[in-house]
Amino acid sequence: MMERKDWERAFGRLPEGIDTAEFQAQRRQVVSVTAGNGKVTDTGASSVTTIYARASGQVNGTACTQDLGEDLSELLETARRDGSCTGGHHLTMQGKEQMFSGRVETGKKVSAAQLKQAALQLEGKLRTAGEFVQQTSVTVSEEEDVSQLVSSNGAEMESVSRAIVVSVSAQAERDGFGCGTSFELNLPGLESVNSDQIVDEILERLSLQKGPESFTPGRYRVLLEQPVVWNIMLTAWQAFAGPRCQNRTSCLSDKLGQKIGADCLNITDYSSHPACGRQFAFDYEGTPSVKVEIMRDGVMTGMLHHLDSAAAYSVPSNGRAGRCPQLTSGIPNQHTVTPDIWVVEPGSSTKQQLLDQLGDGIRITDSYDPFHCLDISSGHFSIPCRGILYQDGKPVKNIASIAIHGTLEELFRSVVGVADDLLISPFIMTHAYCVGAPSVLVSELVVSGK
Amino acid sequence: MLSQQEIRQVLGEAIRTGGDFAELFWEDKEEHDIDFDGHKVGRATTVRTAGAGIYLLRGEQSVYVCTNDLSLSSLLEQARRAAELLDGGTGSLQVPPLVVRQIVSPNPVEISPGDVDNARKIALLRDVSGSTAGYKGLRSLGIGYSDKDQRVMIANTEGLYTEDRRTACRLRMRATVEGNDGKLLSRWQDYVQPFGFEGMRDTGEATAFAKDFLDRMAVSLKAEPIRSCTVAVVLEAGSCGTFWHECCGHPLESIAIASGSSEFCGQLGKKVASDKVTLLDDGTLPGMYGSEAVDDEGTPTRRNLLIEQGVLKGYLCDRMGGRRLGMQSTGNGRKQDYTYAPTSRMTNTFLAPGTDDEEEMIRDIDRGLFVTGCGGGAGGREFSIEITEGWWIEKGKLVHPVSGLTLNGRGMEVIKLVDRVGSKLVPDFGGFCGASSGLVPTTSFQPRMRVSAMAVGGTAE
Repeated sequence: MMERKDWERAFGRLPEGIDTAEFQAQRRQVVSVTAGNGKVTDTGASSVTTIYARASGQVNGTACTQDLGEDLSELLETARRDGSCTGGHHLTMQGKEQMFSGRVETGKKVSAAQLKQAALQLEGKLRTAGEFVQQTSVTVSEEEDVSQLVSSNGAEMESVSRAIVVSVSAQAERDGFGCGTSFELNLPGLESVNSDQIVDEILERLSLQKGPESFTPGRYRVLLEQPVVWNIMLTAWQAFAGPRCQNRTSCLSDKLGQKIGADCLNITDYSSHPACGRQFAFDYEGTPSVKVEIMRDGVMTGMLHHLDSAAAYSVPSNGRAGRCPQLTSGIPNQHTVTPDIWVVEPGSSTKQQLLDQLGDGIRITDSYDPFHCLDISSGHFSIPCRGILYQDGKPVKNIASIAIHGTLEELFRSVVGVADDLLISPFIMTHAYCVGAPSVLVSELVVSGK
Repeated sequence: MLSQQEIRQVLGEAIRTGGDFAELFWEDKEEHDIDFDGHKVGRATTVRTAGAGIYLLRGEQSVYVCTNDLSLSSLLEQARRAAELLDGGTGSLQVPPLVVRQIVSPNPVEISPGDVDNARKIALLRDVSGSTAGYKGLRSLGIGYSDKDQRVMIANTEGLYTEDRRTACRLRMRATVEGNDGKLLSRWQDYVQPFGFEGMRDTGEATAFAKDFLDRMAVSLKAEPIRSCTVAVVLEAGSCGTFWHECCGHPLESIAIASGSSEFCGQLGKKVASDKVTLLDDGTLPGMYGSEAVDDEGTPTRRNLLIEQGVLKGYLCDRMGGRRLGMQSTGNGRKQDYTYAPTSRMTNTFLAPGTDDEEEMIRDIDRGLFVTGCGGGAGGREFSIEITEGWWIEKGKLVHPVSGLTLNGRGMEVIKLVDRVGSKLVPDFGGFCGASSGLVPTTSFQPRMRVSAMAVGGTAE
């Protein structure tokens, strides 16, 4: 991470036109062990540190590097150079008193040997759990995220968050029909790995897949299983992003304080959650990350804010300033907001109780590709999926190559039941946030297919 | 950068516990991004990525460690870490002297993007943005400029030492338009030139791209929903090749074959598609976004025949995938950067041209769908593709644009139903493909082609 002498020297001679500056170092260390067929197949260890600079004054600019030999003064000079062409674009910074202070550390370290043991045990249990299971793979990782932020106004903060991430996948063949499933979990520690529950979940997901038959498209009562709700929420949180609501490119732009969902629907963005290992102490603007109630009893009660969007709504930032890799495939560097641990709150019913209420309807068991199927500005979604047709509360036939259609608001309003089967999984493409979801029962959705 | 002697020292440390192969991947990449909102520059920033990864293999077991502390002592420590993670044993393998093997890049660089000052890049953004002034219904338009200049060095215990340079400049258009009825539509599209800044010399081509992007959005605003149906589907030449990327490309990657998650497992030499289908993946094509001199394991890229006249001919292999399948690497070991271990990935995947008449394949349809634009998608046993633009066909004529559609199905079933393949192969600009080794640049394209019957998910009731 950064050395005090290096940042103090850089802050001591700020480039011309720069009044205040911040550095943030983010270090991500991962050790992972993958087991398959009773053996360790792949092992990994990484330690990557990225240093971001923000400079503000007459000139405002940003820069970042993974070259650990680069002088911090040079990084500020790069930020000044790039900022000088932005025509006075303002970079919002805040005073030390509004920023997080101190150091926080969560999670405990585990050894590679412990990860190996956990991976082999879980893979063994999964491989032998059913005759139809053909190939299995289990990866158990320890992920350590360290964030250190210092500013020329004297603010200093550091957070260390450790989580155990379990990735499970299995392939199976039943009656000549090949199928597979996979999921990830973000957990506080190895002691939280409930192998029985994970194996049961995989077996259920595999056992629900059979050769598909045709059905009649139309409006159906549907049960959206946990992975489907998770998939939708992976993208749908953007509709609650303050900057999108501010520039009116969200379908929920004018809906703060209004009823947009069913009474039973509650959504919260947590900075820490007892079922999740990843924790967030402050965002990249140094604002403490607080719990944000996004939807309560169907009413939109909150948005995700960084300093600029919060100011536009005359509220304090809730610490969700984030970076996304919008233009590059590399280090995320675009100013945006991101959730921390985005959770659709579980209800008190079991999934079986919701299934009992399905009657004539469709149990949507899996969906694909959430990113391209949901338009945040209009709220329209057309999500490819597969499922099981139910009649009189009993499964009749499997259906595949189908899609569910509607708008986010229609979906939120149509929820009639929320199950208690919450699972929290990391978004593995960027590792920037986690999403938790339970299964939900929806009174009506358009289902297309053959 | 380490000397060759130091590289051999690092590789030697890695294999001391019995690894039968080790590789050092070294990367230094600089990117510049500029955001332009149509009136002013929002943000300009420089991103420097630098780091190294050590890839260690023993049989079908792998270890990958990476760091961005590039000192010799750090890399030796990482090599020792990798050796320990391999779990026991003593190695007798010696690292031979490294031999430089340099492959000419299919995408040479004339003007390094880093040598071009921001003012010139901003002028380009102003020109392109200015060309869209006065568009009716345009609520917001953002144009992002991005360039990357990635230099990689790959050395391994087989004595290989090679370098490659991957450069690209890109404009990303992001627009929200509003129809007369207040309906909003947001979309983005990339204009990519896989060269140095010389790729952006022709401002006219970039402005034409921007205008075409907005024209197509205007058409989409008039789109009507259709009912779910099973009809003939014609996919336009060019970027509708996403179809092949999702329904065949991913399932033909060795990682899918080795894990048993592909329906192409055990199908080599067998008929898997209609006679009309010949599918290739070629990382050597000049001027294509998925092209490189070597893959991220130092294997020269090449032209790989995947399906020939409907018969499965090959898989896409990286080094480990090849080991697990008993095959050689096909030059498809790719990854986003040094933080990822390589795995099998596509490069430029395309359907070979056929001989069918492009107009006839629409004229011949009583009721059907003409897809002119695909968004993203997902692959696997079941694939899905977002249809961003398309037309409904009635009695051989295009009747109205359609909206809210997805195409999904099982790839192995659908490719058997390809009954027309046109003669004009049209490339596309390409984009990023996301998978277990991160985002890598790819293209997927085709001539116009037709599937005789396909389930179309529509929203009308």
